[in-house]
Amino acid sequence: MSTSRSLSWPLHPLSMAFLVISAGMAAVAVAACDPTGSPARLALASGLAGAAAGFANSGST
Amino acid sequence: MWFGIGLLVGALLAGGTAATVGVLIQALLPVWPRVVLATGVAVAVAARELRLVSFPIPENRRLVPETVLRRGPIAGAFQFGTEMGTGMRTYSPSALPHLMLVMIVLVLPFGWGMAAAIGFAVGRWVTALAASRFPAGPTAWAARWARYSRLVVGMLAVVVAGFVATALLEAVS
Repeated sequence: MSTSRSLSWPLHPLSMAFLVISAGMAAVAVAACDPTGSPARLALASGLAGAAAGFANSGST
Repeated sequence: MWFGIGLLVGALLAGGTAATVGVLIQALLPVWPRVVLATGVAVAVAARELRLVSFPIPENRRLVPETVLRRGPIAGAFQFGTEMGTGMRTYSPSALPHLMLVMIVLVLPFGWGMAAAIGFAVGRWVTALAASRFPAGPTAWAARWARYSRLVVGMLAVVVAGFVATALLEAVS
């Protein structure tokens, strides 16, 4: 039982959402602090926003 | 793997088409009307995702047919992934993909739009992967998703709204 729990938590929707949200917020914060800077930062933020949208759509099959 | 490749192909098809249309629209329309329209859509979608308002969104109200999966582990998985990757071939529980599509058409440069499309495919892929590898099974993963979806989607909406605000500021600067 404990083994199953220890293996399942990284795949839990909340754990994964925490990662996506953290990465997305960090990317947006970096891009917002330097909006006229590196286009790569804004492209990364765009990609993470897309990932958040894909994650939010997980209920459909 | 073929499901994931299909997701990427589908997302790039939809995102590439939207980004190509966006290149034309962004060339023809001045920036302010586009920014005002995108802001209006973003506010409406954020309010919907936070459950402050309720309104229907365009969606294909059907499941991807099971016959697709009967085409085999490669062709079936690839086609299933491609249909899911477009985000237009089945139900859409969230309006965040719609907001990203509007952003791609009205505001984002072509490259950012493609980055968003790749991100969409990856976002869908990791959740499908997690559900299939979840020790208690995909049904248990879906049950946990349903339990926490309101909180999670609300927070995801905040992230997307932050990106939208940054992109809009970049567009008008």
